[in-house]
Amino acid sequence: MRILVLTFLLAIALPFSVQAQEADRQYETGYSDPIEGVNRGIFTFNSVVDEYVFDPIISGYRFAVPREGRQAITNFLRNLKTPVNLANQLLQGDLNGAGVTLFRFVTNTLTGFGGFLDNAGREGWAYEREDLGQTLAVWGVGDGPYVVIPFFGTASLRDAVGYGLDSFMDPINYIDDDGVRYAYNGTLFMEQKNQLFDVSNDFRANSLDPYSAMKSAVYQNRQAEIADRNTHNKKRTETISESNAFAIPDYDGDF
Amino acid sequence: MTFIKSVFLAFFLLTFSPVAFAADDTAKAESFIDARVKSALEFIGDKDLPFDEKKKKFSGVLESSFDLKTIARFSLGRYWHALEDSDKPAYFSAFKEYIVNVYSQRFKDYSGEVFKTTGARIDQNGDVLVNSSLIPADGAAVSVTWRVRDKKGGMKVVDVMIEGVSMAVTQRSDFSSIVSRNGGDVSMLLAHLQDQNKKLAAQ
Repeated sequence: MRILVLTFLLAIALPFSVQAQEADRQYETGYSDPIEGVNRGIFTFNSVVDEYVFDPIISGYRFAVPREGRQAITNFLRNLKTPVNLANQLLQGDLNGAGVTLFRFVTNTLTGFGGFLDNAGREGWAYEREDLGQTLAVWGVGDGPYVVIPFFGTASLRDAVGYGLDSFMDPINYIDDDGVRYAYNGTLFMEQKNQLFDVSNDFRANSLDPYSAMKSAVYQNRQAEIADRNTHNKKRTETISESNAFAIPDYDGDF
Repeated sequence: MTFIKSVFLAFFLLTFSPVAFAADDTAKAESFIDARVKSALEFIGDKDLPFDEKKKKFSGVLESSFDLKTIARFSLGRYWHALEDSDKPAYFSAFKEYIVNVYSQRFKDYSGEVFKTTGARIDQNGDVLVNSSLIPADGAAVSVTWRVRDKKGGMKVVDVMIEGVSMAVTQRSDFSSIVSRNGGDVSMLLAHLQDQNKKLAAQ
């Protein structure tokens, strides 16, 4: 009798403890990082370059241009990115998303002074960034190793290749005028730095190991972006939580 | 025989209690988040309140509304088992101080964004996920999802996901990297945490 009870209790307890162990390792997955040493070196290099070159520029920009003005520039650049977003949405078979992108382009170009105002976004048709990295992910291409690119930042190899190829989808890069192309890409680059400014400074100031914290955050955010592919734009917030529904066990007894 | 019966009963209770969140609990969790966050934003946005006061108030909100023990334990992952029992209280208090320090710094960036919950649902683990947005005067809203658990002492937040990035999971990556880079020595994490607290508190 006693043995029966004991076996029974064991049968209950075993799966629980295995579950607990699994939960401990589960979220250590993320990007594979075979060249971590090199990556960390470039990461440090980028941090120094950001601190001494780009951050002062961004701070100056933020000081000189009021919030509304900066938002207008962001809106305008996003509107110019329409062909890239649209092409990727079509490549992903995301017809709803493509419809929203097209609708946003027409609305904001016509009623938003050529795209400086995001009137469509204000009505709930939020901007969605799409890139070749996401398209490749939808097609089944895996993340590949994690890479830190000098001056630019961090991504999976797939996404880094995607960002590079995206520029070939951008009609502006086919304008036959070096000045226009350099100015455009330079502005895009600084806009990207501006968008990441707060997040990367937060990681650098607060994390114990900014490199690892950033890698984990980039991975999670990317998973969420990839998962949004087939849902209607207005449901975006739900999709994001859906894709990263991390189970967190209860640890009341552990202290 | 009654012993076996009670074992069975306990087993069923254990197995099914996480799903005990009923449908109206999603609404309850949503209004819980709505009320707590809005009252917190009130003192965070109060320009006349000194920073140290805000920090103290936030620490209180953290104690009452977050399941800090679960978050602290989760953040350590498998290295929890390597932590000496005698070091656990020190880890927990350093962890709590760290969270208060980090988020107090982040509040400095708060510029009147409007907070709005946008719905809730029960996930497969029995927690309620409350979706919300932080909406700036202009520009894109930030999506924030709260993982709420019905605990003995009432509802508690066990994780916050910002634009799909879980704070608990990111914390775990951060912490476990420190431990593994120090050859699995958890006491080094404790030292790092305490150092970081000194640095952040000085700001």
